[in-house]
Order: sequence, then C-alpha cells, then structure tokens
Amino acid sequence: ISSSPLFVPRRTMKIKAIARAPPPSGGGRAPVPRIHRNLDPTAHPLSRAREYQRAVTAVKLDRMFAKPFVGAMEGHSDCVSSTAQSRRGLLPLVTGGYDGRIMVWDLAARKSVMRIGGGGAGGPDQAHAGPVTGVVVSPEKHGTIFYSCGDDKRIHRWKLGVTHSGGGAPVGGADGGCDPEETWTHSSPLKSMDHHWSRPEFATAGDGALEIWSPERSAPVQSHTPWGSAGEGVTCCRYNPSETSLVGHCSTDRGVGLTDTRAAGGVRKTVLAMRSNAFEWNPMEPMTFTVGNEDHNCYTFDVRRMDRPSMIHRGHVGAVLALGYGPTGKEFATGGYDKTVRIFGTRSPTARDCYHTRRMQRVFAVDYTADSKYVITGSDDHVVRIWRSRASEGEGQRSAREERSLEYRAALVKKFEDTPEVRRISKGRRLPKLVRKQTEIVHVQRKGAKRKMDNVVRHSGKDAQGRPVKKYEGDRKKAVVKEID
Amino acid sequence: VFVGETVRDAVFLHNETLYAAAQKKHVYIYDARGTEIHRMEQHRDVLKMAFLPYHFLLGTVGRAGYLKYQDTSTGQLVSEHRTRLGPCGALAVDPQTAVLHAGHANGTVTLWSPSSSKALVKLLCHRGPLSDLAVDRSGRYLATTGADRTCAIWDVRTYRKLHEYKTGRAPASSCDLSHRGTLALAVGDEVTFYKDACATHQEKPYLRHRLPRDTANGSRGYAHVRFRPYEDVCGIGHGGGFASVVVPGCGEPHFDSSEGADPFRSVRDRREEEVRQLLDKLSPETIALD
Repeated sequence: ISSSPLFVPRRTMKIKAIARAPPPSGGGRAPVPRIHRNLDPTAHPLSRAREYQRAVTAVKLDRMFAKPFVGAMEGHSDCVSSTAQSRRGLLPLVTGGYDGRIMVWDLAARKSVMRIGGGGAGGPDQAHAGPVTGVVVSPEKHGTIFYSCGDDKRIHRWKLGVTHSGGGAPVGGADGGCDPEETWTHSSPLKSMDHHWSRPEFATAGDGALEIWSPERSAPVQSHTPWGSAGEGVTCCRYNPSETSLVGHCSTDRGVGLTDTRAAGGVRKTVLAMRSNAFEWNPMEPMTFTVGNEDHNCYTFDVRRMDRPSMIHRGHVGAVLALGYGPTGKEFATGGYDKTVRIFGTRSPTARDCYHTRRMQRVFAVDYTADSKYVITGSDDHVVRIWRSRASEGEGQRSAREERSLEYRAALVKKFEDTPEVRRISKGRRLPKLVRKQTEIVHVQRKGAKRKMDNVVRHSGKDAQGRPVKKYEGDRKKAVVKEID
Repeated sequence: VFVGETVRDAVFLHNETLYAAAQKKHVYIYDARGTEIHRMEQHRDVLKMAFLPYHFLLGTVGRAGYLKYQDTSTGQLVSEHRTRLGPCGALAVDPQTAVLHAGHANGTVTLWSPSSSKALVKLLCHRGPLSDLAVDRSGRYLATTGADRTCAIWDVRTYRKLHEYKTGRAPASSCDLSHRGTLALAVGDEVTFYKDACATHQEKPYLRHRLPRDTANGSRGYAHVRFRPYEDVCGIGHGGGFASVVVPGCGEPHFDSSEGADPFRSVRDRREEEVRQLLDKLSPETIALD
C-alpha cells in the first residue's frame, strides 16, 4: 500500500496483487516445463510479420535439406531401357538394357544380386540377342518369376529366386545368371510387355499388333490390331489394375487406345498430334491414365471421357520417354529426352520438382518404389539411379518433436506459398542451361500465341448476339486430333 | 557497474543478459555480469534509448537531434535520421507497429521508421517541450507529458487528443502506461497513478506515492517511473535511489511463454528462445505505420 504519510488506513486492508509461485521442483527429476499462453492478440505484436519470416526460413530450410540423389548402380554396359518391380512387394528391382543384359538389384544395399548376360560362370552370354525392351515381374509364385521381351522377337521367362518379401536366395548369384525357364518366339520385334495383375496371362506390344499370350501356349492367344489404321504398330501396353481385362496401349499412329481382352476388338482410341512413348494407369484411380508424349507434354485421360485430356502436364523440354506412377496415385515421375526427371502431381499442370545431373543422359526408364519414397531411373549413361521422391525428406525414423516441427514448417510454407519471396525460393531450381533456355523460349512462344489469339478474337467482329466471331479454343480440346470409338 | 560518469538512460536488449547504457559520451553495451561488451561510438550524447525486440533494433536520440537505429544482432548501423528539431529528450516505441515516437522541445511528437528519412507523422502535442512519452501495449493510446504541466492522452491511430490531465504546479518529469492501462505520472517528488486512464477520463487518481526526501543528493523533484511488465509493481528511480510501489491491478497476470516473458524459464529455455528470436528477426524495412 502507499507509503505516503497522508494516507492512514483506518483498518487493515487486504491487497490483491499478482503473486506468482515458482513451479514445484521435480524432486530430483528434471522439471517439466510449463507453457503459459495468452491468446490476446496484443500480447503477440507483429505476429503476421513474424509468421511470414518463419515461412521464409522454413522454405529456405526445405531447400537446404533437398538432396534428392541417393545412389547410382552400375552394371549395364548400354542404355537401361526398362525396369520392373514386383507389384506386391518392395524388393527386387529388375532392369533390362540395350546391351541385352538383365540385372536384378538389391535396392537397400544398392548392389546387383543377379545378372543375366555379360559373361560369367554358366548362363547365356546375353539375356536377349539385342536390346531388352520390356521386363515385368509376374504376380504368380510370390513374385519369383519374371518375364522379359526384346528386339530379338523373343519372350523369356526367368526364375528370380528372391520372393517379393525378400525370402529366398537369388538363383545363379551375381555372376552369370541362369538359362530362361521358357521361351516364346514371335514373328516381329517386341516393343513392350506387361503381365496381368492376377491371371497367368501377359500382353506384348509389337510391330504388328497387341498380342495376348498364355504361358501354356506357344503362340499368342489373342491378337488385336489398332483399328482405324493398317500396318501400324503398338509401342507400349499396360494392364489396368482394377478392370483387369482392359489393356491400354500407345500406337505408332499417334493413338492412345484401350482394348478389352474379353471383347473382339478395341474399345476406344484417341489420336493426338504426336506419338506417345509411355502409358501408365493411375494405381489408385484406375479409370485415369497418363501418357508421355513426344510433344514434351504428358496427358492424363479419364477413360469415361476420352475426347479431351483431363490434364496437360507441361514442363519437359524434350520428348517424354518414360513415366512411372507413385503407389499413392497422387503423383507420377517422368523421364525425358532433355536428361531430366520431373515429378508431377496428378492434378497439377506443372512439375513439383526436377532432378538432373551432369552425368545422367537421356532417361529411358522411370519407376517409383512401392513405399513411394524413391524414384528409380534408368538412363542412356548405363546407370540406374535412385532418387528421393521428396527431396528434403531424410532417411530413418524421426522423433515426435522433429515430426511436429516439420509439419509446422510445411503448414507455414503452404500458407504463404503465393507470396513472391516464398514462391521464388520454393519453386526456383538450378536447371541445366539448355533446359532453362528452352523453357524461356517456350514461355515466350506461348505468350506470343496467346497475344495473337487475343488480337484475333478482339478484331474478328461480332455476330448477331454481340459475341466475337472467332472463339477461344481450349488447350485440352486442341490436343486431341480425333476420337475413334 | 560503476562507470564514473553520467548515465542518462539504460535499456535491456533482447533478454536479461544484455543491456545498453547511454553514458556521457557514447552508448555502451554490458552483459549481465557487468562486462563491457561494446562501445558504440557512433551514438554520441544520447539522452534516450528504446529497443525494438522483434527487429533487434536499438533506437537512440540525443543532444544532436539525430535518431539512430542500430542492429544489435549484426552490429550494423541501419539508419540515422536528422530530426531537425534540436535535442530530443523523450522516446517511446509502439509495441504493435515498432514505430518510434520521439518528443521534441517545440512540443511536437514525431513518428519514425528506419526506412524513411522524414518523420512519418508530426503531432503538435504540447505548448512547450515534452518531458516524456509512453505508448500503451495495445498500440492504441499515447500518453505525453510536457512543460505546460499537462499530460495528454492521444489516440495513436486517429491522432486525436482524447483526454488531458493536469499535473499541478510542476510539469511531470516522467510518465508510463502499464499493460492494463494504468497511467503513472511523476511530478516533483510525488508519483500519481490513474487507473484505466486512457479509455475514460479519470477524475480522481487511484494512488499517490510521495518519494522520500533525499538528503544524500541535492537534486530533488525528478523521478523516472516504469511499470514492471507482468507484475502489479511500479519502479521509481529518484534522486535518493530506487523505490518500487505495489499498484494493485496495473499488471497483466497472464504472460505468454512464447514471447519470452516467462519468469520461470531455465537457462536452456532462454538460450533456445534467443535462437528462435534471431531466426524470426524481422527486417527493418517492414516497419510501417499500418
């Protein structure tokens, strides 16, 4: 109370003032920190500015920790053309190359466990007498069987020895490998192959037609020619994971089509402006598929509506040669002639990330691992590379505190992702000079085309209703040349 | 710390381990043990200082009428502005916007930010020089005391005078606003407290405290008041020493641990807090009126 002599209290007064007691000591244990909060905004001055600053720091940290390259596996002596993994397990990775060699890799150890071809004790000199164009692991017998097809018009069936859960020992070991269990011969070179998701049945794409085979028969059980054009071949074929009789394929007449093995002929076909190189079904939304096209774009289609793509994914500056969907179905990785690997979200027109190395040449094969954490690429420089699908995500178990901190940082970046500074830091990538230059040129071209279209529409005069005579045409509609049902 | 010369103002930096003292010629920074850490020779004849905690900026004004901003984390002198209004003896920081309010000898209060070489706003507050300034925590009210023996409460956003309090026969030497809006006025050797002085005009003071007559020093009639942040206590520095007064209801009872206000934090928490403060440090260019 005031100590002034003017004030004399009549009776004793009890004063209520703030009194804080220190927290009780833990009795030998470390004290649990008590956190007090005052939610009054005046207790938190400049909170928006500070949060923005934290977002900028968070996005910088994200880029600092972005080290996507994990490792490289060498073993092939020519371009790696195809990769395959068991559809039900994480383990072995099978790759085939233009050198006629097939290699089986242990991804965890980043070493080869089996090699077919390339000399060594026993086994053939080459798995195929020519480039291996397709490899696929069969779902039967716990993933211990895989098939391969090549330009030498042959399909081989091999024994892996290692199950998809990791049990068993590889047959033949790292050297030499083994002889094929069975062989089928075809009349023309084969471009691609895929196995049915459950039945013992596989499909091959070749110069003449899309052929359906059964392991019991030495000749194809069915043969589908892409209708609407004669003498055209099929370049890529994929079985639908859900509608298992449906096979999607790309053909040399720039078409993207669907064939039902139960029906006599094809179901649908859409012809695009340029040829498609890769075809993949979305594993989680099996009514959509994505094709990688020669015109540097990827087109995602919905089978229910094939008159236009549902999304055009732009980003590559060279032809898209390979495509691989992530098991979550939310994103896919593409490899291109421009020596980069790009990762796109299923509903995003632009790439989330772009991986490149000076040593990596044209990318011919791209695949996701089944835990969706890594992307495998096979390229022209004979090397199979492993990349992280999320560049800043490290390896190993994270503590709860770290997990929360990462979630907070991700939420901050998302909140401020449209502000110029955060956007510049999160989207900026160091790209090869050629890619950067080409992207700028493409940007200028598209801007110019849009400006021209704006002028044409504006000066085309008006019709009876007062609307411009010339109308804008959607990009997606323009992509499709014709649709054949 | 015995420095052997006049110390005109002292202010804590981002935590209790560092403080700055405006001594006779320059500004010095000391650590908690009293070791002199820095001598800032660019700041001369400083009368008043204010620290902006979220920008790590130390603002100083002095006899030369220069307002200087020093970054205490990088050591860079961010900017110096000529106020062109002579010696400046009153300085306060608006906690919500980090704008500095300077009170001048011609009765004006000017608002400053590091990025502008001219004052953002000039207010004519008193007929005569200002002795002290205070901004309340919510950034809504500005209390000014001047040689014309009045204390005025202004609305910071509309720059309108809300209330006026007369300080009697002598001008107030110092004023402060607590977190809960209690106004403290030091007039001569008496300190008067008005409760909730900003929202409504108070007829009567809440408390009066007469300072002891000091026999050690000849100087009387000057006191400096500052409220303790989260306590019901007001500290008064006067000619004879230091007094602290309990003023019930003036302090904010609820502190927030994330704002560095936890009185029970450990050394480890303080160190972690320092790192977080530095990571969240704002750029001086972001200081603006709005």
